Amino acid sequence: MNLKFTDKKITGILTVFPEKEIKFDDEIDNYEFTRQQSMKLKLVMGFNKRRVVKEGTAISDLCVFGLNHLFEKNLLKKEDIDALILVTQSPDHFMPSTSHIIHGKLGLKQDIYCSDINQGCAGYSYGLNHAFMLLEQEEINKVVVLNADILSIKVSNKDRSSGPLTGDGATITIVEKNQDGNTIYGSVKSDGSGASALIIPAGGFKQPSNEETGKLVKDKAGNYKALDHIDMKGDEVFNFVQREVPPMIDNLLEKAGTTKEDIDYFMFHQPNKFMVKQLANAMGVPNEKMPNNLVENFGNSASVTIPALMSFNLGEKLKDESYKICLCGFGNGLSWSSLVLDIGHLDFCETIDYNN
Amino acid sequence: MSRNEVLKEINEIFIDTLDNQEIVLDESTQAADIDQWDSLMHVLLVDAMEKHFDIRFKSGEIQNWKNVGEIIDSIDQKSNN
Repeated sequence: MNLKFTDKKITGILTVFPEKEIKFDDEIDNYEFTRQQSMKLKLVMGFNKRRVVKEGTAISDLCVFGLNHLFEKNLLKKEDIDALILVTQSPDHFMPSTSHIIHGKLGLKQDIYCSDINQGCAGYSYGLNHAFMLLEQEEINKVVVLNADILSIKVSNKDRSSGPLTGDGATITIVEKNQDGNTIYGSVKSDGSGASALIIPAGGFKQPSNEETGKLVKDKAGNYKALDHIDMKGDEVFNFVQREVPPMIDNLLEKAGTTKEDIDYFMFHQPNKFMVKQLANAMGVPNEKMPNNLVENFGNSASVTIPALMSFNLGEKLKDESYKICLCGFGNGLSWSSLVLDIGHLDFCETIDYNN
Repeated sequence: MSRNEVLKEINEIFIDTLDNQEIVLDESTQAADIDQWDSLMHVLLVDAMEKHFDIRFKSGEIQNWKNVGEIIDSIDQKSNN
């Protein structure tokens, strides 16, 4: 499905990573890799280090910390927030929505549109799309899009396909009306028939967690996982991404009347280094235009990766310059979504650490 | 290089990458036949074969090989070009 928005703009990006870092070298023994395999996995997949929350830290803590940072630095005013959209799959509670928890912790005004969106790695553009739609309203001038996940909690530390990669984090993206006449082009697609390719089988209302769902079971490849853990069918996810993403981007760029050469950066979700490189290769995009260095430095933090990739690689540059950027996320659902837009001259673009 | 020679070299790559001296491949061998050959190790196998034969597989190939024979087809095609 093609989407089109006019007169909207991102005006700030803040990334919050928990300070706690796990090094792959320190957890190699969990996975029964040989030394040679470990070294190759570092190079090829980007297994290196990742940021994770300490026990007891929730996504609302990361978001509140980041928002308070913006209030204190005078980069955002509480009373200016007309909508708070949170994209997450690791909410503090099933109810109420975590955006309301954050609203309450910060003492935001009651005249506000507050909502959670349940999306994984495709979620950055979902949050932005909602912001763009909300900004059509007369009374909504500024939307705060939060992306936050702490899925390291739901990964078995004896699952070598997800364990060494999964990280935690949060981002805050400010979206506002503007009168530049710029058009933003987007595309979203869904395929629920692939729901089981990436799933946490237990812990919801259909199959609540109990002693049985917490038991580690060994699979054919030697991974130990419980039904309470993330279960990823790596080959199915890889196939879906490589099959669906390149044609989606071709179609999006055509609709936007632009070409790959005109795009300054392809800021894509970061499942692992190999997958991003394969996408760049399949799309004929040079690696310099499609950064793939987030996983090796912070881990894969679901919908957080795209804005985090921008603040990590472009940072302050996004305050002075403006770039034509193509964003694309893909993940559980199955869900894949993309946007082409100009991003730049931001009020802020930085990465901060959360220490709990 | 003959198909048999390619098969022999791939066999060495599998033994080395999957750290299993007992692997004996033939053209019909599939991922399901070798315990360690999961999607993560598939990535390492692809990387090792690309480096060894100095070729680059397309994503479409990586995701569609049904058995070792089809991997050899891909390598053959690239080496002959």
